[in-house]
Amino acid sequence: MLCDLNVPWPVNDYETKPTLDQLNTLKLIILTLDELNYTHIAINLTIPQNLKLANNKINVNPIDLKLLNLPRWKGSINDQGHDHDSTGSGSFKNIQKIFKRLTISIEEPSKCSLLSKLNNFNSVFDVISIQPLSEKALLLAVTNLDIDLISFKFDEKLPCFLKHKLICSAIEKGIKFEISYNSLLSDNNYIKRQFFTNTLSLIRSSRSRGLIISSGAKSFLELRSLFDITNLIILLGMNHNDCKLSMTDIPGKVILNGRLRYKSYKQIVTIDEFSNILNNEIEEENNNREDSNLFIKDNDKKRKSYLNNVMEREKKKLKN
Amino acid sequence: MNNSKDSIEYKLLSRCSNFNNEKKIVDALDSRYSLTGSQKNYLILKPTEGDNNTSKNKKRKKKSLSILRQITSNTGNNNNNNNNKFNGLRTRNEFKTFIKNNLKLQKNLNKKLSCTTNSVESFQEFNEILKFEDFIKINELWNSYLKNLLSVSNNKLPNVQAALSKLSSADLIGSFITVIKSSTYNNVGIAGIVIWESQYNFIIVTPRNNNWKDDINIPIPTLSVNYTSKEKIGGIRIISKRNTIFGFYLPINDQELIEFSVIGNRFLIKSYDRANKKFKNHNVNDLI
Repeated sequence: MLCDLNVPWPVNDYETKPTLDQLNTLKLIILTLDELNYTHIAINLTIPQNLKLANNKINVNPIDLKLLNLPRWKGSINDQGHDHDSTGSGSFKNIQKIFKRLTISIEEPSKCSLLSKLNNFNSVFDVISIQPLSEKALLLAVTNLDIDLISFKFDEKLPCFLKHKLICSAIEKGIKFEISYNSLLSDNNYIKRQFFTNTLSLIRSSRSRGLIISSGAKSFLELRSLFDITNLIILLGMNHNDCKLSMTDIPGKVILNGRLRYKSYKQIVTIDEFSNILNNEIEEENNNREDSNLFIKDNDKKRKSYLNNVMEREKKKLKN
Repeated sequence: MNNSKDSIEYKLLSRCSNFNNEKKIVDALDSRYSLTGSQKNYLILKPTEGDNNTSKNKKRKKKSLSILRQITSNTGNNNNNNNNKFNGLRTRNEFKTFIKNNLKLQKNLNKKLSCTTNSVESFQEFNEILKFEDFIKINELWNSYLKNLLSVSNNKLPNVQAALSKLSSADLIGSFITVIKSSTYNNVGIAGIVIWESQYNFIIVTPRNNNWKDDINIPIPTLSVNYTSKEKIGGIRIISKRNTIFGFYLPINDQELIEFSVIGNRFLIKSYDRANKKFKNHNVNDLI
């Protein structure tokens, strides 16, 4: 499991639709990620704080993977039917799941009307994150909001000095922090310097716990493999093992947290089998997550489930 | 009343420094039971602090009484008994001993079975052990209860979120449950009907011979799968909720069923507190 939770969606609002060029670059990014052995990917939509929500719940999420005309995911349900060929052009080599992520950048929390409607996003996006631009927003995100991720703008100055107490209280709650390495690869020296100071302070205040590393790449040339990134982050004073964890396990937890918010009631009772929680194929196919027909799908498969088998057997015994 | 000089009281008082006169002693002895004197004609008894001793004695006495006598004795006493945490007659304690005895019987049976090749039915203990077949009716009742709760009918299915929030406060006694994932790997795959839910444990009744081994189809008959003696017996199992994930399902009609799973780590609440509790999301570190 190798994750990249930040593949930016080219458009930042609802009205404009992505042009063909932009879609092509996005497709190229995804295909190179596949080539670099990534397995779980999240496509990230970043919206400003004063954006108005679309009325229709289906339209809240503009990310449409069907536009990209992507190959089939590895090991998907459709894959088993016809032309099962893992090496051919028909399917990905490594990518198993593509998730959808929402990032709201907040400067003044009181002006942001989206925050009260965060529940509406639960059913549409897999991962919800916040990009605080001021100290107020950071405090609010850590203490009050029900989110998975906090990401900073790495090409600018951080909103405030990061205190260990604040950051680690967030990590204890289950909110992780994101380092996106794309600003390191830019030509501008100022941005590079900012990246170094920002990540250093983030690593220091979090004691290298609960960090995830993602690309945030705008073109496929900005992507790096796992080992390249570990080399880079070791330079910044992070442990080798921690660095690998922040590319594999911790993003997995972020996804699980986000999926559980939709698939379960307060992480107590979940619908579906627990191992199926990361599976978002059925919803993608239906393109309608609000509907309850998500409840039952491919009955024959479920009918053979172990639970039912035991029960049926016992009932038959009784009749005999 | 004995005022002679040989009496014990007289001799005791004669030693006392206050009563140096013989007359004083006689006066004091005369007036000790009088109604008008400084002395009072009754004794004041105050409760001492050694309460525990007396209650222990009472307990000993009451244990020796037969159950019939206890029932027929005063109702006031019975109330006191019910307040006592360790009283054997409390339903809770009775249930506890019942389960303990059952587990003991299963253990004995297990020992006997492992020595012989006889079938389980041939042993005497088998008749006293809880059996899965008796609880199938409870499971059917539970199914109809859950259908009512979620308002499921043949055509209509409930909204996901609403159904899940109702499920979090639903009663699970009677549901058919399996252990999907667990840190104690011996428990994985155990399935049975829940008969009791405590804060930290589910108590379930498992069927005989029914385990994942039944689903293995081996074409060569000589390589048939063997069951351990514990699996042959079935009966009560106590499964802790910590670090386990349980699955259960609700059949809608003959062909369809809805599957749910319960995350045990978040379920460590007494079932009657669960109805009113406000839940919160937590760190998911313990779920992977």
